[in-house]
Amino acid sequence: MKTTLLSLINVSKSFNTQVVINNLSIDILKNEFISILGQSGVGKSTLLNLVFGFIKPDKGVISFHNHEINKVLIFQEYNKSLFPWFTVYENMKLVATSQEEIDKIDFYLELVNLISHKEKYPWQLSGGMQQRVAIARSLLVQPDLLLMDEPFGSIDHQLKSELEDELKDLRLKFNLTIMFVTHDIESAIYLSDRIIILKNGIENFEEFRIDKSLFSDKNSIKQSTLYKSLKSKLKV
Amino acid sequence: MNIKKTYGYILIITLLLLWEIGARYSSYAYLPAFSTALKTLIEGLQTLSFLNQIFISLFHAFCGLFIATLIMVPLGILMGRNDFIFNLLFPLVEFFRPMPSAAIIPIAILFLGIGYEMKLFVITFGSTWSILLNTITGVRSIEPVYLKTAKVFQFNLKKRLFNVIIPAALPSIFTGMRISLAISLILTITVEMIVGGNGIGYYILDSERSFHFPEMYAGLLALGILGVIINKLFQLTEKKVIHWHYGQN
Repeated sequence: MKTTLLSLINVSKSFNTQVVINNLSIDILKNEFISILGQSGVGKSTLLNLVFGFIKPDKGVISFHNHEINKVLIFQEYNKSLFPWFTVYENMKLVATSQEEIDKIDFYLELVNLISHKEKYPWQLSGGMQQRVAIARSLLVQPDLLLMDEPFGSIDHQLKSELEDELKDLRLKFNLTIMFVTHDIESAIYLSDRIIILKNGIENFEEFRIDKSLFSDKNSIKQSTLYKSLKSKLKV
Repeated sequence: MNIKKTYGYILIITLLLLWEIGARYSSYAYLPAFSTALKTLIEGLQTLSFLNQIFISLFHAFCGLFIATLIMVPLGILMGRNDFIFNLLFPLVEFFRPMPSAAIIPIAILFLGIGYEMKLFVITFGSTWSILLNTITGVRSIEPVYLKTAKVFQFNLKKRLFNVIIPAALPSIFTGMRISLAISLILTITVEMIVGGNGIGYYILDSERSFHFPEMYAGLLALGILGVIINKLFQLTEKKVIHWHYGQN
């Protein structure tokens, strides 16, 4: 049986008078890949910011069950999440907290096929490469929980597909727990164990468990009932 | 070289030619020909006393700029990051900033005399504001994602300051320093002219008062050339230090 990594218990968050998250209770299991879907403004990014601790809930509790959790958040703005004044290697080294982690920089850069670019500056890389470095940098600190806020949002379709495959492999290789905010239903089905659709109102979320055996082939996703059902629920 | 860039040089050459022709055909004693001024400058550059005047002026200007940078960059970072300090000090900055630096000279003379300390004080005073305001702007306009990344990876204050805040604000700090560099040179010459003693400003005024007009123009030419060289050197340094800023833009 899988253990619970974190629990949101009756969490609410408002900005001014606008209720963004209302009384939300979700458990996130260890090694689970959970995608958060929802229309704009339902609080997907707010949820990640709450879990990370950038903002505090107005009500409710976010419990890590008395464990120290190493959380890393990967931002949507892939072209800004790396420091442009440092090389790829220096960006990695900056977040390392021990010599052991520094020694592993090359290993992680090799993992995302960027070892030959380690002396380059982020602005000398494409958007996809920059996001790969951001992922490698996150893995370097061995996070218990990886929060990803539309990380492939503004990347072209072909590259996005490659990055998804890489993320899927990395997730299995390192037993990562990932909360993945996206607008993309296809990506969510392909990558996730569970999908949560955030909603406004009393019924604040709906969840769907993914039978991985049904969606190993990306091309079959768009024909699936689940895809159509999610599409109609999200009105896209 | 881009053909459009040559237009500026053609204009300078035309103006110098006009000066040369105008001076040769005029009877004004206080307008020597450009060639005479240039010859005097070349001769002056071979004498220790003239070089010494240039060196003294440069020393005054750079000392003022250096002290202003040393004080205002940390203060600007503090004001940019801390709202309490910003709200406490900004009205004071707004009071002093529009004040022409030359207006501070009489007070500076009263308290510091007419020596080196007074000159340094006035030059530093005038050079501070651009550096301070540009540092504040630079710090306040740092991409929020950079600061969030620092938080994600739990950077301590030192790491955040030296690896995120200062590098991110550097392009703006350099802009402030570039403006202050010109101000410090202007103020150096002004102070030297007002209180005398030494420096190229004093040399120009002294030459005018003793009717050594070619020397006066040689001093002015030296100033113009120095300004161009210093500005170029500063640009090269800037491009070297914040190469990433130019690279990504």
